[in-house]
Amino acid sequence: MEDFELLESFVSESNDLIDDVEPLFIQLEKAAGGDQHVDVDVVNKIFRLFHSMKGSAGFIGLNNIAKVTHHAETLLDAFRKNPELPMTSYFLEVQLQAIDAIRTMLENTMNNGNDEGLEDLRDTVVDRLVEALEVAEGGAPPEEAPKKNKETAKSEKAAEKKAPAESKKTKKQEDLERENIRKMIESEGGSNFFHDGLELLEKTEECLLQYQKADEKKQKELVNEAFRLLHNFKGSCGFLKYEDLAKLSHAAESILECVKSGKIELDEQTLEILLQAVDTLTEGMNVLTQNGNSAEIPNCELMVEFLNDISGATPLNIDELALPDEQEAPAATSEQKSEDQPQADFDDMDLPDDVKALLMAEESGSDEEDDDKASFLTAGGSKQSPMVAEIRKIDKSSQEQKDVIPAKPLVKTNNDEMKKAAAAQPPQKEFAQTIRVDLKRLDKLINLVGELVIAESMVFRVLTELLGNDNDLERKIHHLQRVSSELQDVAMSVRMIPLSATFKKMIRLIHDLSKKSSKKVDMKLIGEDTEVDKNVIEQINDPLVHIIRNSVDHGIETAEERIAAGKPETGMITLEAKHEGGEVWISIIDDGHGLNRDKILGKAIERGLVSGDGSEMTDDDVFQLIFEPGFSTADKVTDISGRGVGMDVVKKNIEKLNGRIKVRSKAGHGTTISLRIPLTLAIIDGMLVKIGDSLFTVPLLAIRESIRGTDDMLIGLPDGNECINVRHEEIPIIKLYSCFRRSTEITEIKDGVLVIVEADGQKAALLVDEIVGQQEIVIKGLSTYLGAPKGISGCTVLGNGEVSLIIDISSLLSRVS
Amino acid sequence: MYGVNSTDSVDEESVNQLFLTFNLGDEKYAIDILYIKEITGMQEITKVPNMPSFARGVINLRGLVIPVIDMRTRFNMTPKDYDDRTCAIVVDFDESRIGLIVDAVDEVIDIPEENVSLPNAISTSAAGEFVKGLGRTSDTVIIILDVEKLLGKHEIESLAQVSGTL
Repeated sequence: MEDFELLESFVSESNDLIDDVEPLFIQLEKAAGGDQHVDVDVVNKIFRLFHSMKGSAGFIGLNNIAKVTHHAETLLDAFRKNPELPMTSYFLEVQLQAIDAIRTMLENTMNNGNDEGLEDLRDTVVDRLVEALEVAEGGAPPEEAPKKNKETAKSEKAAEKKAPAESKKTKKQEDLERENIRKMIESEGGSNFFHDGLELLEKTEECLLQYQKADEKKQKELVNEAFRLLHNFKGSCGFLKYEDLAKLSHAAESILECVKSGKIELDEQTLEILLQAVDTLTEGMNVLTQNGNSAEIPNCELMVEFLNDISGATPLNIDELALPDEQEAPAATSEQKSEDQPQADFDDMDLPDDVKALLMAEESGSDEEDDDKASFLTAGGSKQSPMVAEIRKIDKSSQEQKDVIPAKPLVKTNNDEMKKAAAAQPPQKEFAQTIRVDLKRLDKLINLVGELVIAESMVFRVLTELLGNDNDLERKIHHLQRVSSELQDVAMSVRMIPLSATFKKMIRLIHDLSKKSSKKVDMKLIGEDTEVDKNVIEQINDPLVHIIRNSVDHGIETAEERIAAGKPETGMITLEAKHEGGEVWISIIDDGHGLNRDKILGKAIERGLVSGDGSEMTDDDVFQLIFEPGFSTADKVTDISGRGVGMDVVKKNIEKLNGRIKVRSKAGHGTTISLRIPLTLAIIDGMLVKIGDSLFTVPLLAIRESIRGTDDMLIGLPDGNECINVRHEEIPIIKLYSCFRRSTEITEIKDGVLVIVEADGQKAALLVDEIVGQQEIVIKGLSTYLGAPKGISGCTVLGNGEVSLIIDISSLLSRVS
Repeated sequence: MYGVNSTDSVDEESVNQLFLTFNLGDEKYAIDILYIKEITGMQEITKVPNMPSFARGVINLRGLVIPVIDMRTRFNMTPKDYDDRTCAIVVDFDESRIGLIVDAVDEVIDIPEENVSLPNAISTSAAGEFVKGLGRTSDTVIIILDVEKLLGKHEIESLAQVSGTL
């Protein structure tokens, strides 16, 4: 597909927008639950999302998405018109369903290039939306609607009645809170917008600049491209309600549209003007960065008007773009003013229309507005364009009798004003500058840095062998090592992404879960800006989902139980992320009734996981049992959890990340599950062990201790296997030389070293010839051609260039059992 | 270069017919040159456990760890000690890079399509299933190997099976 890039950016943008808006819905419902009426701002924001998505989807020809968004928008419109109408859970569910449907469609779009084939889904969702609209407009929910919906509708009506009378004491507080959330979401959207917007403008500029050099066919393409880019830009501006930017880009777009349709020719002057418009837009974006929330362009309207004179288009009504049938755009009044201007003077001059317009603007010094326009043209583009200068020359010669107010002072005032404005409003926020980089390139960079570290240690080894202990050499080596380890840190940090998107998804999850389990649960996010490796983001989602499910289903009590226990009626789940000594800790904290030690122990003894009565086990050991596969203390399996699969998944995923799980729980006060994941995955601490003439690496995390075995510790088992007795614990022995078929002279445990490792709660003693040392290693995958040999998880290149295989403890141990 | 002469267009076409030949025992084999990344001398091989015997292990190719396959073992020929003519032909296949250990590499030759016949009667040798065709040159017949089959998916699966049984 030709426009695949367009499609791709539409899908990714839409996904981002949906992710941002979903929490807003939930926020709306919360307000409704507290008998607040709907926050019109929030509704507007969601409305704008649907609207701009509808527009883009229609533009690209994704009709199913366009249709769903259209109906979702119509339903929201009802709330806008009637702010008294509370956003009850019924409406919320319908809207969330619509969002889910859109997600599915987007996914489909990504895979197939269009959203066809989902007509059924579309119809179901549209039906529900229409139905909801009827309800919203005062009708009772239709008969076929589930009973639950009726109830919610009823309570909604009751709420509606109550709404006007509702007290305003908490409103302020609520508003403040809401405002904060909105700001948080907006600022993020804003920052994305900023980067994307500048990129779009840059590309537009490039297209325009190439235009003159290009041949005819290419020119057409360039105009189309520039048009698309500006259109995208306009869409984003409209969505975020940056009126000036949207209006100006619309005007520029209109000119390109005329060029496209052949109405006007894109000559040098028009091109110059367009470039100026792009400059102005870029400037506007820069103002936006410094200023954070407003992107006002001084004299924007005049520029717009001027551009429209060229294209003959009507100015864009920002509210048409973003909020149809709302109040009139403030700018619309200046629309036709230029018609009244003295045009006659120039009509007989042999000049293109647009230049006339420009001249007109220059000339009419008596008219303040037009003078502004002229001065703007010089001020707007940071440097005076040759064209304007030329025009001014003509202007001077032919219009001497006119009292022209020089443009210069005005320009100055404008600049001064801008500066003043900037000074008066201290920069609220600076968006970080970013560029997009292909992930493959990053991985290559990281790999190379790893190589560099290895190469470095090779060189040092040789150098020290040659030169012996040289103080100067040592100092220099240290220096280089510092630099390269810093380089490594930087390279690693490049792959880091904040957890916020993952965390925000959990808001929706909690919402759904609390509905399903009919418990009241609230969620708090702490430290969602914490950055983790991209791999971690990919792996962490499922564990979080499972843990939160468990917390809601088993941890949090019902409202009655909570009140009886003297706790607030609404349960609270806190999701917290922080960096802690080379690890990132992600904690899920609930204030439910906590884990039941006795129950867990009982179940474990019943299943034979624990020998004896377990009284000597620490709480920590007991709580770790919940991660055993198939382990569940739930008396019944609900549709949320209880089969004992979830926590097993948690453990598997966290282990994949070389992480650990800590569980703390206090009966009656809640549970904290803390996932501790090392910051980097590509580098681990490893213990080098020797078997025959090969060196293997054992991940240090898995090692508990190393001992010298003696024959009297040995226990022979009837099946020919051996165990070793370490402090009254029988640990099976794995002789690595036979496992990995290496020839070595050390085949008896008394001659070698036993490295005691643990994985999945199982221990084993690995017999190796000797321990060579401990070092940081860069993990490399074995070739995909070799697949995953049992007992080996990867390899690493040692300082001497030799390859050492990394032992996969958990697969080795599963073989033993 | 490579004995290909005359104009560009001819060059382009004949790239498809260029093969690297190598020796295994008395026989001469050829591999399509498009797969070949480089040729490297033998270096220390790190054995990987639980792999079929022909997968000798991995080598460190300037920081990149790649598996190496012993072609003699692959074709059920009697093993031979590695000497200074032994080398590994490094091929890129399906996003992995693999080394093929051969007795010696010979030359790059041009075998025009009309000189290649289909391997109908070759099933006696163990290499039979990997043969793509027979190329005739002025003085000899060269066995052209099918890299897809040699390193293809079913091979990996059979590898996995072998290692799974251990």
